[in-house]
Amino acid sequence: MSSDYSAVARKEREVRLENLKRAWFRFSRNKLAVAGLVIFVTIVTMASLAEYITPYPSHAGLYINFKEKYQPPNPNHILGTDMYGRDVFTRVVFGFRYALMMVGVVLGIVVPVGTVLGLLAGYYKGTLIDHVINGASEVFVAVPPLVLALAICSVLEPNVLNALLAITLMWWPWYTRMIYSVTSSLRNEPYVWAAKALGMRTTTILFKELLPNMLGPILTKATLDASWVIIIGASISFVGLGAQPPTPDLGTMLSEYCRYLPAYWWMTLGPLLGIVALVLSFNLMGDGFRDVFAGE
Amino acid sequence: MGKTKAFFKSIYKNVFVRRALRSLLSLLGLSLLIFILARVLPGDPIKTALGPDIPEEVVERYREMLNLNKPLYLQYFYWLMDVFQLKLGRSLVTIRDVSADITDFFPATLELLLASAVFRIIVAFPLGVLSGRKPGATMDNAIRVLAYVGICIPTFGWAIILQLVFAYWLNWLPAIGRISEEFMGIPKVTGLMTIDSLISGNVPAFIDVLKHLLIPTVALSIGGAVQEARILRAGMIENISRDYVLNMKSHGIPERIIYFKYVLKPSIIAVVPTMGLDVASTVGNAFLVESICNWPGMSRYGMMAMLRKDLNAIVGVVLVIGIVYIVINTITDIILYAIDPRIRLKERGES
Repeated sequence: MSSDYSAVARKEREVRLENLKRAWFRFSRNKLAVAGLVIFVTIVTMASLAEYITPYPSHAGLYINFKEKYQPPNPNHILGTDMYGRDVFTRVVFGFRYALMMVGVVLGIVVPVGTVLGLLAGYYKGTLIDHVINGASEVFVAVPPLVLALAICSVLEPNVLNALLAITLMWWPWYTRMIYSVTSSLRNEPYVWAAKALGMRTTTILFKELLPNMLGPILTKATLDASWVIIIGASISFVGLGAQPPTPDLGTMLSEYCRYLPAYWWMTLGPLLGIVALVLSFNLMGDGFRDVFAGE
Repeated sequence: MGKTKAFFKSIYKNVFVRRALRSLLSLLGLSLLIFILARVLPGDPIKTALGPDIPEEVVERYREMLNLNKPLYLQYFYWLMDVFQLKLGRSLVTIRDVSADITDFFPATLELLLASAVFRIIVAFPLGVLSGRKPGATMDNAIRVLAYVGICIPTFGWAIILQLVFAYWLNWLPAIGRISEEFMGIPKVTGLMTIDSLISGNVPAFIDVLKHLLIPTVALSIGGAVQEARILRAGMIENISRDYVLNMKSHGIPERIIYFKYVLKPSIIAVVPTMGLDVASTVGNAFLVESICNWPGMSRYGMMAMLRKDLNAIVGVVLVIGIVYIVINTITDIILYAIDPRIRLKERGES
């Protein structure tokens, strides 16, 4: 008997591996998605090795050299220097760290929490659990996400941690709502009934039977959302409610530099290009994932 | 009695009323959330707003005036009572009632919002039709690239770029503000300067206002507009391969009529919800664009309030934005209801 089970399990693993290979094949056929992946990997590598690959690592934080201020892009400073003589390129590369950390932390908290809540609400559709979870999520989507994030930030101390907290707080409902709608349409599928009839525990049904069917949409949404986290994070710091100078955060840099706008425009260009590159890579990858899973 | 009850029941059955009521409920929840966050957190809001050197008895007086020395649930109750009388409490920075401040600043934001909606319609529909007509053509590919660019540059990025190019380098448009100084005197009727200048018959002023409006409007809506064009394109490509189109073609109905009358309409239906949601979230993005373009609107006021921790003003602005959000969503529902017969039939079937 037990050998039968292990055979089934092995077969299952093989099928899963095969599916993964196919998905990767389909993803790799999509030139734009691969381009997104390449940009993303490049940015991650640059950000993690920032100390070693940037020309002036000490320029990331507080550093002043008035002799070299306001230099336009040149071979020594490919994106120019800012009002304190700091290399803009170096600061942008360090800025990627904050942006990526923000994405990692926010999605790392929001995706599991939102998924579990959505699964619960969808599975127990029509019960008190459903009403409480959905009622709470409706409160958070009653205003544009950015407004809520800014409002939460404004009552807290302005720093990176609280910006993270604010984005996390306002983001979970979007996952909950998506998972909710998928779960509530899947909960009456024959295989769920079969699982129930076999006497499986609810947690097993939720996480082993239902969840694997949603991994595609979750991955797609998480990737596309990563770009929104970056934009909202940058907006919060841009306003001055997030990371404070001299933190090399992309949004903070942008708001510092855009005061010198018409004359020293290249300073603004650096962080803006950084944001655009990150957002572009996530969007390209997200579209790639969507196509892969839509084909299934 | 039975009649009134039936009347209320029939009203409640109305989709729009039901949805609006639900939204109001969530708005109440939202106000509670912000209110609690604003009061529970450490730090003295009065000292933060007025500076640390303020004498203790003044702080005490303010605390008395704002009910800050009462328990939290009473504070919320008092505040809610005021809201029902359309008073949002006193701003600590302007020392005026927040609702008066918002009334002053709101028309400018509304103008931006309307302009953004108009811009989206003007841009999204033609682009969508153009790229959906011949998928894969140069035009289609150009719009595809534009869509990526549009979504990758955040609204504040657009504002900065447009200012730099069109205001500073080309000198075609004014970079900041709402109207040039020489036209400041136009009489205020609606608060929407485009309409006010037209009412007073001052055409140069109208053109001046439009010029000021252009950069913030485009910055706010270009990304979304191209995105919506893509949705329209997808809808058109999907609908054109439907059986009913083939049927019409075989009946010899001219291609143009099929295309613009029978394929466009169902495709537009797919865009409307997205467009509504996008216009609604324009209020949020306006926070940054208004402050970059120095646009004297409610969002800029809200941002000032946030930077100075002016609690009543923050809660007030968030609440008003919530209301705007509900109104725009309801309008979207009504438009959908008007143009999509399927929704009408479904509603009738339900009740």
